[in-house]
Amino acid sequence: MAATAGDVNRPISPGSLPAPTYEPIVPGERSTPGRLGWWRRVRRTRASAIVGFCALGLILFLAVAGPWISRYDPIKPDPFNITASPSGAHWMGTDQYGRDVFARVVDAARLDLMVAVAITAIALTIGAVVGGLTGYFGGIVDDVVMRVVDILLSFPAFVLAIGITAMLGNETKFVVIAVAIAYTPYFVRLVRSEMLSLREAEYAAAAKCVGNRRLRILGYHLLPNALPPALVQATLTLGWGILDTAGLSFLGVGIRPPTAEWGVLVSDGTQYINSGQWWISVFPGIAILIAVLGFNLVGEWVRDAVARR
Amino acid sequence: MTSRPSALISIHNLTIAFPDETGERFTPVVKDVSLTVGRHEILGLVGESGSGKTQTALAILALTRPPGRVVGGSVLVDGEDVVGMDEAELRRVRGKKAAMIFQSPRTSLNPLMTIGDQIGRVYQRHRGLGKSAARTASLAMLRRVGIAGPERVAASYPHQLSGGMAQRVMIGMMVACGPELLIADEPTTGLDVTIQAQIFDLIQEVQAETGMSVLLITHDLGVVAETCHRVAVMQAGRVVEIAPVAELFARPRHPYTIRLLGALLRPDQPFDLTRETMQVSPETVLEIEGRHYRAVSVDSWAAKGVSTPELVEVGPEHVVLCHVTEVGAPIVAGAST
Amino acid sequence: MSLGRYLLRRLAWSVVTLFGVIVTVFVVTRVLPGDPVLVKAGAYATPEIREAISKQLGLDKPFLVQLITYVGDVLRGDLGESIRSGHPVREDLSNRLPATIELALAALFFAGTSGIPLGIWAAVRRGSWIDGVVHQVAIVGAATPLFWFGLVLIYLFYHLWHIAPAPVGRLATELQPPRDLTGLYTVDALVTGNWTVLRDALAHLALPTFALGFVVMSPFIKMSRSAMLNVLESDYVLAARSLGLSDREIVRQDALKNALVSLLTVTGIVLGYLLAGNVLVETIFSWPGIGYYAWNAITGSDYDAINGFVLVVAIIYVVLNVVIDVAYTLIDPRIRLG
Repeated sequence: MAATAGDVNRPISPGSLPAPTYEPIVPGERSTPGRLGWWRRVRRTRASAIVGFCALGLILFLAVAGPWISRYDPIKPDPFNITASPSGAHWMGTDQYGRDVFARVVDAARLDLMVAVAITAIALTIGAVVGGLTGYFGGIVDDVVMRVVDILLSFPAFVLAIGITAMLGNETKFVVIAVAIAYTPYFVRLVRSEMLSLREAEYAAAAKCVGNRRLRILGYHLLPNALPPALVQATLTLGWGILDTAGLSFLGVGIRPPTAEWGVLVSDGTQYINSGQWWISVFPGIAILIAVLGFNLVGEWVRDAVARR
Repeated sequence: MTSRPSALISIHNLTIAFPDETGERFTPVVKDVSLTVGRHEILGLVGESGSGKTQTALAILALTRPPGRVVGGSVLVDGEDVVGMDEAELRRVRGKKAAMIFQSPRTSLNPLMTIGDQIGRVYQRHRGLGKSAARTASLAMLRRVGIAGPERVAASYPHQLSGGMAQRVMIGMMVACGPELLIADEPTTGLDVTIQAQIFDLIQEVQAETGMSVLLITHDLGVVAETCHRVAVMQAGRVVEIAPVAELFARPRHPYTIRLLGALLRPDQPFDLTRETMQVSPETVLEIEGRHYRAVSVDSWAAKGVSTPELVEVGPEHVVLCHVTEVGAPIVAGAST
Repeated sequence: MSLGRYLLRRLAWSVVTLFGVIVTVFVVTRVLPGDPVLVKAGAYATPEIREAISKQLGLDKPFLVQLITYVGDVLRGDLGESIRSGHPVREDLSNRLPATIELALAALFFAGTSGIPLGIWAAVRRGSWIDGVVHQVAIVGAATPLFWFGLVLIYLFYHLWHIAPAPVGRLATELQPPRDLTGLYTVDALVTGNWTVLRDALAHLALPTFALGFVVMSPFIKMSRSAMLNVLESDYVLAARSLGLSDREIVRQDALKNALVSLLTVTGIVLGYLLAGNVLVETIFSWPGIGYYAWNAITGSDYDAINGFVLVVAIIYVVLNVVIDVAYTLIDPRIRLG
């Protein structure tokens, strides 16, 4: 017995049904978009990421606004006030030449941040270009490049940087070059491995079908998608750049005094630690800690944000 | 000593939810599920991926993976509720009362341990055997599940086995525990068709021999038709229909079940389904009148004062998830998420 | 492929790498701008002296010849001569290597025995406050400047609280080092029963070990936590639990062995940190190892010594990585049996 077509009403499409009558089993918050939405998003961010952003904010603030806050000249010595302990007049005390430590720390913040950014920018750019190209084109060039990368990675980065700066000299630009050389292989590897998996991706083939030239595919389609892990690494590298630059300067093979750089400041105070004048070394070190901590925490947040996409 | 309950497994209104990344909102993946598994019976549990079958099964062994948790209901295993049991008590249940084999047998085995050692430790744990006795028993078990050359296999590592052999090993480990219920979660995914048949034959053999119950999770209705006594159909976290196998295939009531069976393209259907009704989506509301299925407009459905759906008995041992109206006649409704 | 062939291939590759390392150091020393003649001769040298030195360094010869000479020298063990000590660099470094090894091993031991259990604990108690605290310790450890941390430790423990001995080396000046068996004072003193020296050596070892170990602990924590989590959430652990095995049995039998593989990876990373960090730590504590030697070389513009140091560190790193690879094959049957 067949039902005639006229007997059966049209099936109701899913979209027109009323919302389900079932209550959510466990009550949850409803999201409030709009004005309150961004505050919700802040609350949802992990506490550590917030600490990271605050830390970075503090360092940036000091770097930018510092010279106006500190009332002293970071370079001019003051023979009447040497190694004064922290006080109302000198928040972080003075060093062996009478220079205000806070002014020096703030001055160094600028330099260290700029150096870290320069190092990261160079390593990221070269790494992305080299890694992207060899990953995409493959072949003998890829083999050779990867062997070179492997050999460079056989040196602990800091030690390689020591070797290079020792040869080049004590100028800031040499420090940047040395550390950038040490970091570039990491980026090459990172971008290349992303590129290798993306190369096979469907949309690359599709783009090719449409007739795009290979370079165009590389630049517009593949590279932007190969970059996110490298960008996550870049935030971490900003922190490492500060650590390594300060380390090199502390050893005497990087930036030299009287230039204010956090590592230089720590080394300035080394011999005074044992006579009890701890502030000359300790405060710059704390600045390094806060800055690197900030970059590390923010880097984690970026990594989670990228993964969530 | 209280008498043993008639149903081996009794799940009542089970709800399992997972939180999102902020930990504030919970999404239920198993909603208000009730079903039972009797002694010595094979119950098939069918549904699409994501319908909550695996989660329901894991709950029987209290293996819900954190951060998900059971937020309501009870799961009675031989009369005892495993929800809220502590680890020590659960260890009595797992393996002894119920045991599970999983979808990908090779990853269910420890890659760094030999097969022989892995089966052996089950014997040591559950049968209290010493090391050499366990080894002998393992070899015997490998032979029992149809593996040729058991000595060689016992000395190998999981990655050296084929999928079919690995699943036999898993079944062997299961039988070594001697459970009253075997839960098989899609045990033949990814296996060759002929191997699939062998595995199911093995499961049936073991079931006949030991008298254990089986909860067979699958999305393959053909297997269900051949091996199971009863079937439960799940969709979007809910049980939508439970019936003995023959009854389900003869008189499916829930639109979702109908759609599933429709895919089987059986020529001798007891009712006539026009082409249009075959396009029925799960959310469509149908009203039963005799043997014709009528779509009902939203207004008249809403006007009948529809409540939360329940499992309503529509035949012998046959329940369907429906909205029950004031009028008294059940309206079969799809479960919307 | 079989174990033998795999190892052979690995060894062959590391030889190539070592060769590449030597070439790289050569490139850094000769090709980069900077005047080695000026450096060796000094600013006041006359043209004749400059020319003589130039000839001595072989700078008049073609590039390739210089490279081959250098490689030959290195393979024979000639790393040049230290300006300051007058001794061959190789001799200087090998004299000081035991001190560095002692410190590195102590730091490794400290970082491992603290970091690994912390990571495992955090994994087993995932999501709890323990997990959060351990995570923060790891992050702070990684962000701490090593040289600064050492100074702070000295200030607190030596200057302020008088617990630690003066940071001027491995032993108090009035004590004689124990009989030289391994070069590690603690081991030698222990073996020869020299308790005074043992106690003093340990006291001197404490602070630099803690400084280096704290910073290096971070990768141990992170990796052991993630390795443990991977294992705990793996299919085979789920299957083992479904069979009724207890958590402790599972951790012991299934989890640890698998986590061991990841731990090897961490050790490789940590070794890199240690080889780099030793320069900073030894400098602060005047620990007479190769790192301190390198720092003195830097301040004294002793280029042969600096480059010798860089080369030796890289070689050690390559060799240790090969050892780790071999260890992998022994533990993981998937690699061994193909």
